[in-house]
Amino acid sequence: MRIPTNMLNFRMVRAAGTMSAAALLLLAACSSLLDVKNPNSVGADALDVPGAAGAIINGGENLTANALSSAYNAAVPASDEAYWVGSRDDYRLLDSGGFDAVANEYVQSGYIQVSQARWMANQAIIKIEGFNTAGNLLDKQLLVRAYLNAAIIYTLIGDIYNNVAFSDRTVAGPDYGEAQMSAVYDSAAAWLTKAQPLALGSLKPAVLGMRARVLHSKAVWQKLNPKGTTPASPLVSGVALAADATAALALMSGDYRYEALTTDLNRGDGSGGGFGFEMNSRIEYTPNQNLATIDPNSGKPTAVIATDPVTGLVDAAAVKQINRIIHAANPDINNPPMAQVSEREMRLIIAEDALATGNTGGFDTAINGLRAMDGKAAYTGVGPTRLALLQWERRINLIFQGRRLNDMYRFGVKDPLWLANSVAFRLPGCFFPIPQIEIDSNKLLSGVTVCK
Amino acid sequence: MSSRIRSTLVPSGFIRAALVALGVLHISAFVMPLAAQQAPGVGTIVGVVRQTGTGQPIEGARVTISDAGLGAVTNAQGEYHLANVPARQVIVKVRLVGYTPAVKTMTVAADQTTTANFSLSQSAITLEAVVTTGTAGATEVKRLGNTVAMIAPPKNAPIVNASELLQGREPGVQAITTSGLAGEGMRIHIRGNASLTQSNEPVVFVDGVRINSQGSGSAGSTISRIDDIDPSSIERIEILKGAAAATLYGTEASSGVIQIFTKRGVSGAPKWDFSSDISSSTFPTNRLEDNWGVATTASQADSLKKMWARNDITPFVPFSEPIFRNYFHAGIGKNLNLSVTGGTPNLNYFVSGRYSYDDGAFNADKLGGLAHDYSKRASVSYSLSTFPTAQIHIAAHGQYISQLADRPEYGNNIYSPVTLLIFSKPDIANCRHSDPLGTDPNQGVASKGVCKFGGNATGSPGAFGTPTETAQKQSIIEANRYLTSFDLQYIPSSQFNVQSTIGIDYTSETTTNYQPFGYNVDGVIGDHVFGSKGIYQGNDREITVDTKANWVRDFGLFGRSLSSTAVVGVQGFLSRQTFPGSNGYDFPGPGIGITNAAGNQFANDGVLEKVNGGYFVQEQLGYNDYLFLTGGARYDYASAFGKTAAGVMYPKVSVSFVPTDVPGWSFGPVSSWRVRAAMGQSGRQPDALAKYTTFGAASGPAGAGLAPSNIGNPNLTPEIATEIEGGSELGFFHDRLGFEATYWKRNVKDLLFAVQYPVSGGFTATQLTNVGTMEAHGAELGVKAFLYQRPNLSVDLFANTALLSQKITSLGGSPQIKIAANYARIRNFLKVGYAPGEMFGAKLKTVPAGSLPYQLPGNPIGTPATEAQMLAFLANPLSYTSLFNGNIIMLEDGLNSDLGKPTPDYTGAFGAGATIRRNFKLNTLFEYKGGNYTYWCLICGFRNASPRGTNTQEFTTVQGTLKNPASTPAQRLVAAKSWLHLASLTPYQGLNEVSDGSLVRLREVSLTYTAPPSVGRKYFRASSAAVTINARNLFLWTKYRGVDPEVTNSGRATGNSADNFFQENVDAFGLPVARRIGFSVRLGY
Repeated sequence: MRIPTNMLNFRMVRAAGTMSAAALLLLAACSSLLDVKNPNSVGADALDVPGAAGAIINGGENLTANALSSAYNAAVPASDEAYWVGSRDDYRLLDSGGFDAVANEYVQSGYIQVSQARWMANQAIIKIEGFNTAGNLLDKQLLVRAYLNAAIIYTLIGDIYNNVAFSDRTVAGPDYGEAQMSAVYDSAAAWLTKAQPLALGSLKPAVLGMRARVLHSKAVWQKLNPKGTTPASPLVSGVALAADATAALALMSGDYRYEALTTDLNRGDGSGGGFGFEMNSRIEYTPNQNLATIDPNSGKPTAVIATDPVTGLVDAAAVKQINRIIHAANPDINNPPMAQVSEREMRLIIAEDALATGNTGGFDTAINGLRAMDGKAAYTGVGPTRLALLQWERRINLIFQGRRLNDMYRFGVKDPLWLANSVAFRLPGCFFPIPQIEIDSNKLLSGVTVCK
Repeated sequence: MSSRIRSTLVPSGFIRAALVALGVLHISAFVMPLAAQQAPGVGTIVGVVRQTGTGQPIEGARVTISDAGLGAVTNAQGEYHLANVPARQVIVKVRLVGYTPAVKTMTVAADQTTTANFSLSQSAITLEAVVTTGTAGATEVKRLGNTVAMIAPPKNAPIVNASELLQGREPGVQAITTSGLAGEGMRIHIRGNASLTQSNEPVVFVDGVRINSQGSGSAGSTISRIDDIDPSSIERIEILKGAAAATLYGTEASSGVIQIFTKRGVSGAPKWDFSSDISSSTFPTNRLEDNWGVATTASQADSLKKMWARNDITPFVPFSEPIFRNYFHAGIGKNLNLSVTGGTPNLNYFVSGRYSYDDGAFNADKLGGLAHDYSKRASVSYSLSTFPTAQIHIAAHGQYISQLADRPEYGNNIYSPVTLLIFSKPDIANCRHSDPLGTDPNQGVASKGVCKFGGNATGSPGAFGTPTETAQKQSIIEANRYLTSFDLQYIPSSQFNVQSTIGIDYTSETTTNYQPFGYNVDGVIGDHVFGSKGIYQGNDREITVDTKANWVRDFGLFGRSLSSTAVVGVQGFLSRQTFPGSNGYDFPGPGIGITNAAGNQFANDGVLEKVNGGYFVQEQLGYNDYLFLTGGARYDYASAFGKTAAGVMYPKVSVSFVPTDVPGWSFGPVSSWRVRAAMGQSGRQPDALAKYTTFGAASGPAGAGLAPSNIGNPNLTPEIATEIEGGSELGFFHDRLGFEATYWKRNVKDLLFAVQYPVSGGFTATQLTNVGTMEAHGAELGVKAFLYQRPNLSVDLFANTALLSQKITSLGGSPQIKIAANYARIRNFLKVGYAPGEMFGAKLKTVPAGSLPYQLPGNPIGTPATEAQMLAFLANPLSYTSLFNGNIIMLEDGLNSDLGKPTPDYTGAFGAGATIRRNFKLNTLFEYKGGNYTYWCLICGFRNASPRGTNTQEFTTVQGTLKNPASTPAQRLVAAKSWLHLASLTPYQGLNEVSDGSLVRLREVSLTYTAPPSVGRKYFRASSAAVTINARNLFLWTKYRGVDPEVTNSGRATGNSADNFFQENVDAFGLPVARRIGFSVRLGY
């Protein structure tokens, strides 16, 4: 059947017209079609809304907790608190004192999480201070939390990194340099000073106690720098830090702790699930065999055996503190709490300050106050030296809180697993380097490291 | 709990499949009576289509009378039947991929039956074949300046899924087997890598509708959504290999396009086809090394004697147990297919159903947990076509698929029973958990390798769990999928037509990961021992809207014949995905396993919408039917760039010249000759949010919060691949011998690279940025010969090869990227001047003869140890760690030595087919590749060098010798030399970790007996009957140090990222590709 030419042309025109109309309709719809809705995140301008203050602070604190967990994941097996029993061989480097490997995945992961938390902590202060200045901040405690959170992350940076760079989004920033790292403690202390008059309730001892910690950490840092030698006089003291610790302690009761917390939502990173998961669930490392018995099959601790040097009995503080983290009775603990400020640490700081200044009575009072928290017999000067007892109580009461490497270095303790040619063995005071990912992407890094 | 999950998840999908099948069959039942009706004024054409030379009937040939809208397909006897043929002169055409088309002009009389038999010649060159893909309308191959590969599913090959159809059939198209886990998906690559960060998989269309062809994963195992497509429903596959051919597909097509065309109905009485096959899968146990161990004390040896019920275990003498091998069995695979086709001249149908079950060769059930190793699919597909008028053609196609994969945790995963079995050490096996007090004289051992109540019976490396415990972890992927399309074609004349296609592909997928309360039966595993469960939903909706118009004209100009084919069209793709899910851990007690019973509960959610679309126009000019020039362009928009962004133009041009069609030109034995060239562009777009600076959720105990997410880049554009290709086809001796050669060259500019900005800037994720360029070139060569064709014997051969060279030429000054940045063991990098994914790591230092590359303590730095120094060092027993820790092994260049690239220099296939004594057909297909390297030390590192899992014979010999007080220093020196070939992992990442991944594999072999019609009728009452024995992956030849170089770490992984694409050469605790031997029966009615 043939179709007449005029009919054909008519049909072609009609078909082409229909198609053109459809195309035009599609064109008209195009801009709205392309305006897709993906409500999984918000734009940067969302941070400028005063109503977002709580979300900014919460985000910062959750990131800080994640950063602490990731950083401890490198620091715990690096120290003598734990040793590697798992499969991920970059823990081997840490366990054997090879802290200088810039490509170590756990060092790198920790740095990444810490960097994100640091940036967010700074951002939170900028935004919340801005809201406050504009009169839009209804709850001043949000500003206190912003300062406290920033102080925590800055203190962590000072405690376990040799050097650090602060950049802003895509704009690279130079590194501090190993010699200038104590400046992070100064920033932390300044924020806490701003926070102090504003803090209420449980934040008040947290702020004061954190400032004591900052000052103590800075003093330890000064003992260990320049790096490479064990300080002849490892103890630190200071009027301000003792005053802060004392004032904070006065506000604390009931084994007070200000803790960073994680859940499955805010722990872990590209390399691991945070220190709790890696130690308790995946069991990549496990507590030192001097502290707990270890099941050779599973690598899990079965009982705390740490012995109090005063009594020779199992140390009740060790049982309490270690079980808070590894919880031998509960094998399903992936998110142990991470104390940042505690009554125990205040007593330790006060005791150390007293010992450093030759006030043995003050030391005994402070240390026995600590020992009394767990019902341990009072120390009367018999048994271990006061210095040894201080070391032991710090090791037990601050276990798995990222403090141990500093103490090992300043007290001249070497992990038996550290190889003689490792940086940890050779160069006391050397912590974790700026990792490969930052070296590759930040052309402004100029620091010369001695830790290699 | 497992039975509950199965009972709630499994039957529902299959019941739905069955209901849909019944519904569709109901439609066919309605349509079937129509087939018996014969309109007045029409006649019938019947005939047989046979192969020239052999006289063998040809099955599957399409017989058409195009101007009457009629078509039929030949059955196994080559017979066809065309009813309702208008009583007039008609042109009957017969086509089949691989044969020279035949045409006859017939005159049909009313109420008469006319016979038209055809003889088709097998053709090594298919210039006359008609293709649809990429041309916006059907056209002959010879008119195109670019290659369009065509794959016709082989009838009796050992193929159980659509991915296998693509394997080894077309040079440059790689379907990469990823492992031997049941149902594990393949990766598809065409001409290497066209992107570093965007998908390197081709886009896939089924009947004109773009489908979800992604991978899905659960606890390390994956599946491919391409495999949802029933392979028996596929009529043909057309493949566009790159930008030169795929320009009209615009953004997203730079890695190629695969168009799958499903079978259509043919008018006539219902014709039924039934096939059933059963197969058995086994692992290549000859390539697997047993688990070795060595006792180092007498008491350990005594305990091990009890554990393994053997008396020959003595200290420092390695012994072995087939621990991993004990968990292999012969997996059973079953496939059932039933299809029917028929209809009237104005309405025809094709309906098919398939049930496929694959029980893998890994015997997960033997571990007594919830994990299994099987995958199954049920599907129904239909095609309905109607011609209400001569000018209108309406067609509807659809498929419903129900899929279930129930496999163990898998891959590079410490909670995979496969992993734990691979690195089990028989020397640390014990049953202490059954004898906690140490009072049992049998030490808790019930029988050889079995504990009374629980324990580490395989010698699993402690910390992670035992195979028995990890087998309690359940990993299920269940999906229900509907794929429908609707075609409307308006054909006012043979010169002009308008065609619209609207289609939806909807996949609802549920992944369930479950482990029951108290599953730590051996007291080892520590992962959520009070149970956990996660249910993750993935809903994917893909909508395709496609309208185009074709205008074909033939006209004369200056006495020459010219033809013009103009196409204009508009196309849009709307994609929406939602991801609701929940998970929880810590159940209150045994027996309960729902997330809302968990002590800790979490919910998650996500939405991803993407839209892209564009317009295209193409003009093809033909000169005297031997010279063709094509030009066209596409203009594309994409939501990734925002609603106000300008579109992108992708142009194309091609030329095709067929000298043998020039009147008067003759080239001796050359029967066909074509030369062609094409240039075109295509692109890839980033994900939906890549342009914007965003903050995402950072929730936790502090409360709901925000955290930096995307850095954002407002200047993002698609990366543009420009490809040129040129080539020629040559056919000799009436096309019984054919050669095909293509050279191609691709340049990708504005390469989207994941730029890592300083992580100290807070936004730690990489940001896509158009900074780089990447170049690739290659050649594809093919030869096919029909050597001998006689009734009692025919022989044909084929061989093809694809050469590939690719490298990153610029990253715009951005730093190199390490794949899996935070995972030190992966050694692949994206680095300027090298192939994407090139591996870098440690290489042993070359030292003078008489020295060993050990940096002994006390020697000056850089001075290798002499043998004399080594003998002194080895004077006393020591552990292998003394030759490992502390950088004692000397390296060439730290971790910076080039260790080779993952992508092969060459890939290809060869094989032969033979028909013997008319009824027997033998087919073989070998596949090969070379010039590529495989990283295998996620296995070798544990088996050779890690404190966890060291269990090879060589390692245990080294360890036994070094530690044995009775060894001499000379023996320890031999061990120290062996150790240099075993040491790997930190701090020597890369050392001994990479192995030549070249291989030749007998991919397919089949022998089919086609019964004479009388036999089929007598025994099966069938019009045709055939039985086949076949095998897949039967033999492997390789120098690879591991078990199987085809095993990949990431399987058919999900998502787009460099980490995903460039871990394809990483062999990580995967099961080797299984050998599958099968038997099938096929009956036609």
